[in-house]
Amino acid sequence: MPGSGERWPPVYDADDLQAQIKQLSRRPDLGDAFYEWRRDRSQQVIADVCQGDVIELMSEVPLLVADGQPSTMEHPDVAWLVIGNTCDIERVITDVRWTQIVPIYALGRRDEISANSMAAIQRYTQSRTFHVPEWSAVRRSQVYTADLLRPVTVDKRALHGPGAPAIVQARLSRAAWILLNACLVRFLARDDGRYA
Amino acid sequence: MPSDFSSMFLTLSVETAPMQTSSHRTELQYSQISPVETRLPAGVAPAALLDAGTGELVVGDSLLSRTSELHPLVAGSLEYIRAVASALPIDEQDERIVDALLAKRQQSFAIKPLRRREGR
Repeated sequence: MPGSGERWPPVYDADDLQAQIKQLSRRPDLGDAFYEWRRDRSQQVIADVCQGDVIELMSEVPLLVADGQPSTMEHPDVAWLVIGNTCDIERVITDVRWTQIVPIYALGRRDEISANSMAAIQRYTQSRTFHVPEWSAVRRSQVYTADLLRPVTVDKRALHGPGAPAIVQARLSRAAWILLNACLVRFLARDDGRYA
Repeated sequence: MPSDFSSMFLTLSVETAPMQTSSHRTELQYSQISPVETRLPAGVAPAALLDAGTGELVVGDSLLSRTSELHPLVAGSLEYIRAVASALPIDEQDERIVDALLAKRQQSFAIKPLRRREGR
């Protein structure tokens, strides 16, 4: 497990994978089961960064617009999901300098989103987004999702180390990390139908 | 030039040049640089010439060994992807719901250009 020195196996039993994903996505207390560590609830301090970590970083979202020129989009929600591989994050900076994060957006207030929409969000049946349950008490009133279409390259030193501007707010549980990993695989592995 | 290759050359190089012989046949030399054929290493040949095509061979199996790491890695990855597809089907209606909520959220976000490059 990240932070403990124990490596999780990279290949999962297919039946176990399916069972864990379905079990997690259907839990009514999804937020409680989603994180193994939350900054607002733990006395423990973590000093590293792993795939799936929810971080807060004051930055706009860089992108190339229609004319191909670089621009930034404001990001008032300030939250990001680390999707870069943990092994690459742990490699020395001279070998691997960069990793990837995607912005987490608030979809709306929890009391304003219909039950039907909420159910759709929590079923994890969307390929381009990943629902991130609230990771702190101050975030509880909103419903959040990570936008997989907006990957951002970031210098690892912005995420951890001396003077790093990012703050890790929460770390996924093993089941939630498996779910994220599966959603990332699904996002990349979709057939585009050109050769059907 | 080896006598057993006096009239036959392998065209494994992209650098070939025709040369007219006294018997009016065109012979392709292996290389313009060297008139001597370069033999393949012993035991190496395109997989299609060694075995019937199975659709499962990868380059490493035939060039390195029959137990290259790549094949089981690819097979394992495919199994994982199939398991994911089964556990996480995509629902287009759910996608439309979330896409709409996300678009509504982002439509008010300002986009600011950075320093622009001149020219093409």
